[in-house]
Amino acid sequence: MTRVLIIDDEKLARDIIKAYLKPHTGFEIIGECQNGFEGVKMIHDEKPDVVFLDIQMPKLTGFEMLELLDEPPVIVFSTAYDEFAIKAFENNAVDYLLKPYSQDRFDSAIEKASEKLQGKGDNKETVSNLVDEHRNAIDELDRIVIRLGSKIVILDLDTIDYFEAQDDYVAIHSEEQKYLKQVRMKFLESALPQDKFIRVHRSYIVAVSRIDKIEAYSKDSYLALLKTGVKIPVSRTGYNALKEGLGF
Amino acid sequence: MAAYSFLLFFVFGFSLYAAILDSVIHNLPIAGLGMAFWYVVQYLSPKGGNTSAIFNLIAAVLVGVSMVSYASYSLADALNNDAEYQTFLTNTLPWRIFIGALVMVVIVMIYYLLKSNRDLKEKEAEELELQSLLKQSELDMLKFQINPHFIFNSLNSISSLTITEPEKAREMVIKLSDFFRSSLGRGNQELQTIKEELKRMELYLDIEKVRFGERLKLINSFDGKCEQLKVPNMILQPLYENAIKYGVYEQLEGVTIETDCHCRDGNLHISITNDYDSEAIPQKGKGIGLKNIRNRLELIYGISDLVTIEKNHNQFTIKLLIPQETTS
Repeated sequence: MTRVLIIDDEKLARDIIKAYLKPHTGFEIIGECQNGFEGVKMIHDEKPDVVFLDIQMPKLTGFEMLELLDEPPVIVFSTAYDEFAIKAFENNAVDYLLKPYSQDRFDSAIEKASEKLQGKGDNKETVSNLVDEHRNAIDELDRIVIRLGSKIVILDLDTIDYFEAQDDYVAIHSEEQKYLKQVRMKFLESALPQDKFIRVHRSYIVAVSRIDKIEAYSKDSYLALLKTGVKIPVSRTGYNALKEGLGF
Repeated sequence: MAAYSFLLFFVFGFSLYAAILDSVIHNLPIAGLGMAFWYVVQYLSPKGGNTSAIFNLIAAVLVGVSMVSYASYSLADALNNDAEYQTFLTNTLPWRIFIGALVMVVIVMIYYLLKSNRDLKEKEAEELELQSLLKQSELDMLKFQINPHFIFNSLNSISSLTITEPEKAREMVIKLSDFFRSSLGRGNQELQTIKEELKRMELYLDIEKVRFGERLKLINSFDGKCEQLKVPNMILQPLYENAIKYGVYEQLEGVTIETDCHCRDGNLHISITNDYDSEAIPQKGKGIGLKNIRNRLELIYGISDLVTIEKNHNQFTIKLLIPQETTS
């Protein structure tokens, strides 16, 4: 049996997926979720094979949800997003259903999902590509979602002091707390608002408003002193970027 | 011309015939040349700082006047054989050219004055028309701001209902049609009564209620005395859309939207309140609807602060003050 999870905040939208799925006897619905929080938890706990996922939902969007999954299932988007917005993800979502859709259209999505499940293996990569593609498609971040065990935290950018690269992860320092998130510095550098965050070092991105002063450290490097007292290394390139951004 | 003849006859003592002939021969061509310059002025307009055009014009006047004067001189010389007159003619030629040129310059200047005056009026009329066109198109753009998500999600709900509750599906199709008919209609006027506006919003909210079910609750209070007061068409729709977005999309439990309409001092006061989570960090796309409403009200009434917002820890209220007099 293929185990299916439906995540959509509208009951009628979930109902139609259930109705369309009925003729497919090899599939069973293991649950329904109304929002992204529930969705992340359910995927984590129940490990479904296929997820029908809406994009616009309370609290967490479908894309933000995907960022938080360690072992993502096969994803079929079901959304009212316009075609252009969703086309970008064509390669990596198994399929996307534009609401409203027909039984035939749904059947072909099921077929694609089955093929994907048989081929298995590379699904994790597919979803991480999907997340990357989504990140490329958005022009500017306005919040960051993080999973802390079973808890999900949504961070306002204004609360963040600095980002620090740590192997595959980035440590986000925010109000005396430290969060880890699997993300690339390069992505953060390009997607964070340029007037608020500056990459001062290969391993550091700093919130401009948190900088207290900048001191010379050695011939070619500097230190940024944050208001919290933390010292952050600044490379020569970083120093120039600061100079440009702050206009000194 | 009469004055000119008079001068020649009485002051210089020429015969009446000679005076009139001279006057006609010299003045008529100048007058003709003056009229001809009307057309030159129409096509040659020295715009700010274009001095070469002015010089060209002055040269044209000088050359034109010289040629005409010389032609007149030759003609007068041939027609009148009186020696005294001929001497007078020869002596006065430079003066005639000078005076002719002066007269022509004055004529051209008068032409320009007339022309610029007319141009100014035309320009003003054009600008006025452009402004009203612009205002109209701006208003049209601000009016129809229905989110495509609303349309497609509603259609999806209908699609789903046809399987489970066909009757409810039909009801929703009708509501959706009524809503679109009343909001898309071309014959729509800019203003309508608050009663009609609320009726239309009821359709909109009913549709949203089918989508969101228990998560959307509505409370209305309406002072019946105000029902004939006017509001801009569809002005409330973006406000409800915002309320739903912040309420339904940022809260897990759902949202209650409270609408209050009453009149005071001849103005209509509308307030829409929704509960919200002040801690939530909203998703993208904020403030466009609200900005549109501000712009639209300002365009219609010419007053800028008709929209006010009140926030406390769990309620968001937007208040509209709708005057009953418009600027146009």
